[in-house]
Amino acid sequence: MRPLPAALAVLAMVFVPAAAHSVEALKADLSNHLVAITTGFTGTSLVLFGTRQETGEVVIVVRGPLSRAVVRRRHHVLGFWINTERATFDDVPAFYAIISNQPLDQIAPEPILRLHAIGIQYLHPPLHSPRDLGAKREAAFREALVRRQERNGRFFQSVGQIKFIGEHLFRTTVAFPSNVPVGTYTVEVFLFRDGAVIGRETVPLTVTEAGVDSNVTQFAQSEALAYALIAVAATAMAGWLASLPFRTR
Amino acid sequence: MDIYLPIAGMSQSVAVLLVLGGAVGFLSGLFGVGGGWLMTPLLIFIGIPPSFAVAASANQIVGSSVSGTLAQWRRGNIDFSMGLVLLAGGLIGSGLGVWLFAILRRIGQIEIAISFAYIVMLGILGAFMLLESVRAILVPRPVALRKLHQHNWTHGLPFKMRFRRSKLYISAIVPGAVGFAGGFLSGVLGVGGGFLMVPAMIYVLDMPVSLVPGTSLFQIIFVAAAVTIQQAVENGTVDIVLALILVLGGVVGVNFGLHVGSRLKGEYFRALLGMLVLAAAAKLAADLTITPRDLYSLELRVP
Repeated sequence: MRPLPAALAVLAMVFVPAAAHSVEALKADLSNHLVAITTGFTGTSLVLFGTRQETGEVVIVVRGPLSRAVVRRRHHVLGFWINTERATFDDVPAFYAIISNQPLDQIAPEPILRLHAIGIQYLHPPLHSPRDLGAKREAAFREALVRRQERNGRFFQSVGQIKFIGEHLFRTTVAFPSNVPVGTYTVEVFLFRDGAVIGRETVPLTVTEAGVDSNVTQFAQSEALAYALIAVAATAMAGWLASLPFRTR
Repeated sequence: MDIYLPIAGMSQSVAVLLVLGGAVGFLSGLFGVGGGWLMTPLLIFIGIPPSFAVAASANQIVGSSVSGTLAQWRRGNIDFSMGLVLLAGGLIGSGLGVWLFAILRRIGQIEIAISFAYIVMLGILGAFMLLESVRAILVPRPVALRKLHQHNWTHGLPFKMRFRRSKLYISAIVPGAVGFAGGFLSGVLGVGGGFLMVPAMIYVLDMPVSLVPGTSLFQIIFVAAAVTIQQAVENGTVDIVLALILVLGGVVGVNFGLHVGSRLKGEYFRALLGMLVLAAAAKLAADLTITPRDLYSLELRVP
């Protein structure tokens, strides 16, 4: 441990009563608690801001709704690549993002990170049906799950994107891609010092479809047949209208 | 400019969708096929999930085939009685097709089944059409000496019907079966089925080539509509916003395609279609045989 943080830690222990740590050490909030997906939606970012009453590392964990993930693996069969193997995981966050001001392994030791499920490698969704895949194959499927989610922009970790303003204030932006899953999110903000959590705040967040789109989605779900007939009529009508200018030929 | 597709749950560039619709519409007008067999893979290629691509493609085929049918109708190129017999078979076939689609989707094999079906079918059809038309181009036969059409075993079947516009007197079972096959593919692959029906109408039914695109498009309207309704009700995958944009691009393309198509000779028309069909088969075969970049794929089911 470097001398300066160590000295600070000792100072803090001397001057700050232990009980005062947890609640008031950290305050945070989002610029908006609702992400509304409308017709022009191409992704959005929210501003997360907060204050820390003590020095320490800030880690932000954004978790999307839990979902079921089916991972399939192709095998070479008679010259063709065919899906032959699969593994189904439950309780996979549909979205998972971590923003920290330092690399996670420098902030806290592995058991602490694992305890709070901070870090993509510490997500350990259970297998849907406990089949014996074999440790090696199960690990490969888990790796693939993370890789595919990262490729879709739904899992990411970023370091050093938190801006500190003076001693206490900090702010960062949380970016959501256009394919952000709809549902209930939690945004957890942690304050770490010397590898221990000394402050924690949870901010709720909802991602929902809004405006015309939410009406369309609801209607398509509740009145599927009527929706289907409208869809057919609308496209048929569009086809007819668009052929009118060519009529004279 | 991007637009959010509410049912598919993603945003996509409007310009890309319009161009895609236009290009597919052009081919559609040129060959009288719905273009869905091209639309579905292209939508998947730009990132639309396969189940939504299939449904949107079926829905947009309704629009583009209405447009194409109207244009053909103004030229008097539709045999309505033949179209209705094809349609009867088509509706039965599409019902069965959507049912099979649901089963394949449940067991996670829909994409591979689709690719295999395409490769086999397009490969055989494309090769056949290309060979036949090249032979016709190289060794032109004097038209006056040709019989109206060849007689074969299908003429022994019952339920004979007279199709005046096509100058045919054949069993209704034959066009019914052709319609059934087209409808089945439509249901399971989300395509119009025209790419199968057009060659079948030329070679099996022996219809006059000029009537084939219009008659095919006419019955595709209704088969595609039936498939759209079934997909929306059973799978909830029809995105009306996506389909409408594709239609807008498509109808413009269809009319240009028709314009160009009316200047092409029959043999060249078939040679071109044959090459196109072969190219599509080759592309799909390559996709299944080349080692994929990632052997794993992921499907998320948000409750």
